[in-house]
Amino acid sequence: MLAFNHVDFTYPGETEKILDGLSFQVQDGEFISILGASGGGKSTLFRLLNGLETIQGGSIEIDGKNIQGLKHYCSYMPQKDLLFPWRTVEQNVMLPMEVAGVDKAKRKKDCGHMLRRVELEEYAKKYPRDLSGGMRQRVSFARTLCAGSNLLLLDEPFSALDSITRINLQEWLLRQWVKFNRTVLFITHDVEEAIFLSQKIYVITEKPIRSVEQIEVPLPYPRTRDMLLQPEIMRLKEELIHALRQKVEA
Amino acid sequence: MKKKLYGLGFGAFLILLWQLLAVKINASYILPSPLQVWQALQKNFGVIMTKHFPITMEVVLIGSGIALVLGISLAILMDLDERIEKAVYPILTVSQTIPVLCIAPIFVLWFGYTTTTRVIVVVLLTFFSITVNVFDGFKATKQEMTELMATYGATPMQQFMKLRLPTALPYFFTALKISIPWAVVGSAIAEWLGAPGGLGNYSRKMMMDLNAAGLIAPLLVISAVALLINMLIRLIERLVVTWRAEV
Ligand SMILES: Nc1ncnc2c1ncn2[C@@H]1O[C@H](COP(=O)(O)OP(=O)(O)O)[C@@H](O)[C@H]1O
Ligand SMILES: [Mg+2]
Repeated sequence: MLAFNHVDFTYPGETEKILDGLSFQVQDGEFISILGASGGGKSTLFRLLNGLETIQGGSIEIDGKNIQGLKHYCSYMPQKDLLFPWRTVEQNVMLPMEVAGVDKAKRKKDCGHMLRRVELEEYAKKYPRDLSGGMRQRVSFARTLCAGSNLLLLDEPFSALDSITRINLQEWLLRQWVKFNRTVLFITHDVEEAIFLSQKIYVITEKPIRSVEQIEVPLPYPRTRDMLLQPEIMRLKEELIHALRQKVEA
Repeated sequence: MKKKLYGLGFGAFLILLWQLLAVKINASYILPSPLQVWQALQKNFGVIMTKHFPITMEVVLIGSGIALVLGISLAILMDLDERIEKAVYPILTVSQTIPVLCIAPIFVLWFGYTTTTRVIVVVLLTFFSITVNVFDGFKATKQEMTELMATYGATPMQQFMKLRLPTALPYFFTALKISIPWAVVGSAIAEWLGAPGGLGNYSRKMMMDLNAAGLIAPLLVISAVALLINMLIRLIERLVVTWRAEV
């Protein structure tokens, strides 16, 4: 279980608070979307979680332990694929294990396994430049899984893709989530994406962020796109858009 | 290929023009014809290649070797510690405004007409661009990639070996392509200061004899060598840096 407890955060040297006493929790195995307008502080949440920035007040805990004493507790996938162009697909996927000092035989084995699971094994020896944007994101996802933790932080991973590729990858991600049984925190500013993917949506409507509004998505898995057309879901979509709009106008 | 054809065609045209002009002027001590240069090269090829070429190339090899080690080390040090960068970089830049060939005589005072003197000249001529290019290469590392590595728990050494070094590699090849041909030219020019031989030295001797064709002949060898080295570097670059088009 992940918990933010009364977290305060301001970027060093800035005056504008980003988080102000924010608390929320995420249970193991959940798929949660964090929905909010651009510039609202969503990525900042991840930067705090993966240790790139340090909070000034409160605590972030995983299974009751402060993250400051923990290592390899989350795997972060950035918005851009950030594949290293001088490495093959396979070498890119192995990078986190290499850094962690996993021995070569195990690296090779786990990577092969992972590439098969994400349906990319025939691209193992290719370079990122040989891949389409969608495939690159899948490689990036495989690399994230290879970082080995149970908590996946995905920061708008599909926002730079064309809409068809994006829809394909959303469905693909859900299949992966079922297979891998890991906790997913998924940042997006796209209402439909949040509804389609997640069990719960944490909506950010204020700045600084004092709380998140938690909304359950009343849909079972496996999901299909036509579920988005149910009246109840359409209403939810309108509500969310309304909530996000208010923030922009304020 | 087509582009090359244009270049070759224009080159041939220039040589033809030169030939015509030389025939018209008809004074080989002022403007020798390409044919006369070629004949001078053929006639002296033996002595040029066995005596003078090795003298020039020895300095090129030692000089660029030192420049590479020095330049790369300095670039790494500046990348490692910002204080070193702040201390060294401005001095490096200012030092470039000093014309190396004008202060070269002072090395003659210190070391005489020796290989050492000429090696110093070559090092001074080349190491700056190596340092700056490699350093820029390190700096071209994407912040986001550094952060991603950090989330994997990368140590500073891992950041350097797995990210900064590969990022800098294309820049390193740029440095090589600029500096090595320049080292060949520098080595030959340094021989003007006084040397037991060498292509530049030989060329200058021919000038004393008013033998213009003989003067140009060794220069052809210098150009050919510089060109050849440049091509070799490009070849290696293509094999090693397969991803350049990407960034
Ligand atoms: N490294 C940083 N230093 C200072 N301010 C930052 C930094 N990164 C982001 N910010 C600011 O923090 C706010 C939230 O940014 P971010 O978390 O990236 O929002 P989102 O991901 O929701 O678009 C923005 O106003 C942004 O300008
Ligand atoms: Mg963001």
